[in-house]
Amino acid sequence: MSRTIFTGNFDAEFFWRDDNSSKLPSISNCQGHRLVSAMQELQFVFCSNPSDLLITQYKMDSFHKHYLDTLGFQFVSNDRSIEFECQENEIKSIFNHLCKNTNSEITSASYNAFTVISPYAILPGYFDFCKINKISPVAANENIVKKVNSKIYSNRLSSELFGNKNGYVVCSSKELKDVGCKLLSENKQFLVKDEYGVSGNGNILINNYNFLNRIVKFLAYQEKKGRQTRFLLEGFLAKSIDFSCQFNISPLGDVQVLSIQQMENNDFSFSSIKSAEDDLLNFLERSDYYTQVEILGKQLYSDDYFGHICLDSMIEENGNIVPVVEINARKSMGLVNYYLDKYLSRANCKGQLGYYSLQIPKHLRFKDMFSKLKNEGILFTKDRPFGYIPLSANCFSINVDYLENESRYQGRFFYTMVAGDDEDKDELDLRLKKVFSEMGILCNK
Amino acid sequence: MKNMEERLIQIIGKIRPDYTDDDLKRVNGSTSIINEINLSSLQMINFMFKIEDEFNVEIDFDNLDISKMNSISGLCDFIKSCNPIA
Repeated sequence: MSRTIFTGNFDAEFFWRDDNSSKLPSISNCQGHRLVSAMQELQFVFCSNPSDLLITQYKMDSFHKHYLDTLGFQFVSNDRSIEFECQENEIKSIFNHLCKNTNSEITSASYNAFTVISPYAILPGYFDFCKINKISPVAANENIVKKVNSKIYSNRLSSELFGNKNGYVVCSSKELKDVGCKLLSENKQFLVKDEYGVSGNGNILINNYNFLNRIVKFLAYQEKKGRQTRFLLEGFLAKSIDFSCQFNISPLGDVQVLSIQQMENNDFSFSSIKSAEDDLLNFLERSDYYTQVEILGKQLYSDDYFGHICLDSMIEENGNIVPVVEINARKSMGLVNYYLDKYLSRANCKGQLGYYSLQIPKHLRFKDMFSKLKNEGILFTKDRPFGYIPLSANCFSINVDYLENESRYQGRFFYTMVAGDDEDKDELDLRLKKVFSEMGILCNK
Repeated sequence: MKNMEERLIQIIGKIRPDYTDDDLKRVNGSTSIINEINLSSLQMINFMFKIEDEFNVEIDFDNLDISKMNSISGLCDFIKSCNPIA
């Protein structure tokens, strides 16, 4: 069996973005950046062999790793964290850092012993890392990956293949104002989408002229400093269901659908996800959705892309399917949940993957949370396959090491929840919130 | 007339419709926006824009120091330092 290295940043879009592009207003937050980096350890679900290696920016918590081991998730991980600086103007991908550090600085496992590397996304430094360690890359060219991940590319395919005329590309603040005013005059609120935005960052909903004018002014100021504006405007659709399709395009162009995931989003950010139920699957089958996926896959291949795809789609309130909301040419949270459900299927159950944003008192650590879940009887174990599987310790605790005078730090509790019906899930959720409350943890979903 | 802190807390109530009256009563000058209110990235932008409208100022997002969010009172000082809208 081939030994595989799993690694990669979860904020891939940041690395594909052109540095000279103007951007929508955002507020940089080091705690938030660290949490996204800590998410890298969710890739443990992809490891299928105890000698597979997961490399993450932050060394995995050994207590959490032991717990995962008891569940049957066995893999090797790096012995040391990779030190990063939180400076927005020189953030490098994990591959850049792995190329810079020697093998032994990161892990005692020798990279040369691995024949396959399976990245979360193809990022700068990936091909260099493969070359240095004599691992054959099996991936599309970096420029192609960047191109097909653009929302403007998604919009073009959506229009050419499926006749969707809901998107407008604007290349200046003036164009944004003209198109935006037209849409608002037709009583249409709309989204301004950054070409390479992700999960809540890079989407802004405009529903009034004041807000539009403010964004136009913000972009015009950047254009005066020489930045290039390029955004996608989309009419905001009345949505019934958000879902995604995870599929793979082989190097020979074969399209293989892996799963359909139903999402719950919060302000355009991922909130929770579950494998689609039969009702949705049957509806998609009857509506020829899979034919559309095949057509899209073939087009991507003819544009020289092969590899993982997470296709964001939706069903409007009127029942109409919008097959292409966004094409993500990388792995995804949907794929993580697919692999989790593969594991859970051995115990005849399924999970729901989600997270809570938390403000955690500075004396608390992941181990405290873990113990409390166990004492409350809502920790999933191999003998008792019910309750929560905590999916990351560093997402919970990483920011505690960077506190100055604050009494709390930001954390995220990533979980998969295993329960019976919706009533069981609601009860489990209440019990989790009781745990947060008793520990003095504030939560915001 | 409400003072600046009270007006900011009212805005937080609009940004976080899930907050009850009791939740809002617990917010005071020393409450940390980052570590206690914990707005999502989109809520944070909406919050900033509502501050601009409420206090008639323009926020320089490129040079926004996130540490100003460490307390409501710190945010008030920051708003006072912003340029008024021309």
